[in-house]
Amino acid sequence: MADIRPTDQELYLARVAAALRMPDTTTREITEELAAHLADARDALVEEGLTSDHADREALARLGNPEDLASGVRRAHQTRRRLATAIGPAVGATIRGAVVGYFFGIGVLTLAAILAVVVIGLIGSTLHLSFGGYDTGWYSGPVTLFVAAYAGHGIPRVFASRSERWVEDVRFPIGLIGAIAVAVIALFVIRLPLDAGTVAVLALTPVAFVVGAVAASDRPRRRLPIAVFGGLLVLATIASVAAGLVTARWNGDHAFDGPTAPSLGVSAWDAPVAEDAKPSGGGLTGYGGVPLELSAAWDTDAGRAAWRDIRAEVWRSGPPEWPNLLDSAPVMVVAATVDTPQWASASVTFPKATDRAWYRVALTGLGPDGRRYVLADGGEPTKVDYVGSAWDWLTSR
Amino acid sequence: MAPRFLGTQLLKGTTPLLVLTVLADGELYGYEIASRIRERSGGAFAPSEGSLYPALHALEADGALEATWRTSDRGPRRRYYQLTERGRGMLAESRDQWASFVRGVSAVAAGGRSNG
Repeated sequence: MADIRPTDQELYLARVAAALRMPDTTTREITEELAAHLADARDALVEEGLTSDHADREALARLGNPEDLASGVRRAHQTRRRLATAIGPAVGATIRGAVVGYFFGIGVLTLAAILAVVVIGLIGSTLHLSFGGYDTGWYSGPVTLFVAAYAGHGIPRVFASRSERWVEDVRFPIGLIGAIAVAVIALFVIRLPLDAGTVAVLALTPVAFVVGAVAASDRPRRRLPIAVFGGLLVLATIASVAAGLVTARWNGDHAFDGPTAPSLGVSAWDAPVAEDAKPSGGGLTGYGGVPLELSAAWDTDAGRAAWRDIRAEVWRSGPPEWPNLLDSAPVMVVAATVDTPQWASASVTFPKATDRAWYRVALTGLGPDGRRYVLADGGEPTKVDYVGSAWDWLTSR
Repeated sequence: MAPRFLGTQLLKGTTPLLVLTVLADGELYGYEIASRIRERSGGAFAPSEGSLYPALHALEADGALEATWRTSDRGPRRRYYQLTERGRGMLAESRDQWASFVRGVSAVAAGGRSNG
């Protein structure tokens, strides 16, 4: 039976390879070079009269300790210059990873949405559910996490290869440094219309980046196993239903559209619209962060003088589909100023709410009969986004 | 006889110069470089083969050497090294530094006393 034990030379080269901690290609080249050296040295020693075994041992002895040799060669390769030159390609890998993550994320979520619709269709008759809606607006959150994870995953391999290091030696520092950079950008730099979901996604972005980076390894890249892909798909399907990406609807008129806001008795909209006053000066302007202006005008000085307590009222409400008021009192009241004897106006700056609140606004006043009337109606509910950084949002609660 | 560590330490610092010098004649692979240095020194010294490869790879990383794999008629394929322009410049500089080092050390080692 053939002896399959490794030779001393093979053991020596294996120790060199392990101690090098460098990419496979470089390691193979170095060990091949050393193997050639050992073969030459052995041949020369045999010519000098040594026995084959003795020549083998002597050739190995001349190369010295394999770990020391590997350490010397590694230091020669892993220079600061190589580290610096690896940064450019690593940035490129980040961008490539982000693009791949974007399209992969869209693909998974689309498949998940389709799957969710099919599932709802299949079990709908039992649970009295039917397909109610499909909201691609929700894609941005999960896709952002895919982008971060893939961006993180792309860096270690390229950085390790260019700086001649092991992926396992660079993935944790890269994950940590990258996560800090991503966290700074996600929490402090990016300014978006925010709600709790968007802030949660931004806060999870550095985590996704770290997970992607740490998942990189020196082992040859494998395709995503079907089991992992299937698991991801099932998870995304459940999540997409739970998060409302795909909505189900009870058969009939009872929808999951949202809670029905209570109809409250006391509000500006219960008041009749004043007949002698008319909205003027553009009525409602200023949504989108600038103060909102409401004004009303009268035909005579006496007409205006008969009105008291003219003010702007801001009420939280549902969206335009169910514009009921949510509270029993306005969240904000701003006294109007009488600019001219026939003109009153008020300027409202919306409260910076951390949820994407809807508001209704009106200019009201107490009429000559002592009842409150709407002088100028702000019209349909308007959504006022919290625009700012995630950190502002988190610390403003 | 000089202490052994002195020779080892001296040799360690001079390995790049020795490597660049023997490669000035043309391209060689690792084992040949070690042999050539041994021959030229009349067998007096040779770089430790374990320190030769780190030196070769460091010189290559510095851009002083260029390496090419080449197959041979007998034996395995080998990695040949040759000097680059930068390597020639480094060789000239190293030679000057070595000459001035030798002059200085020789003057001290000759045992002359200063009159100061």
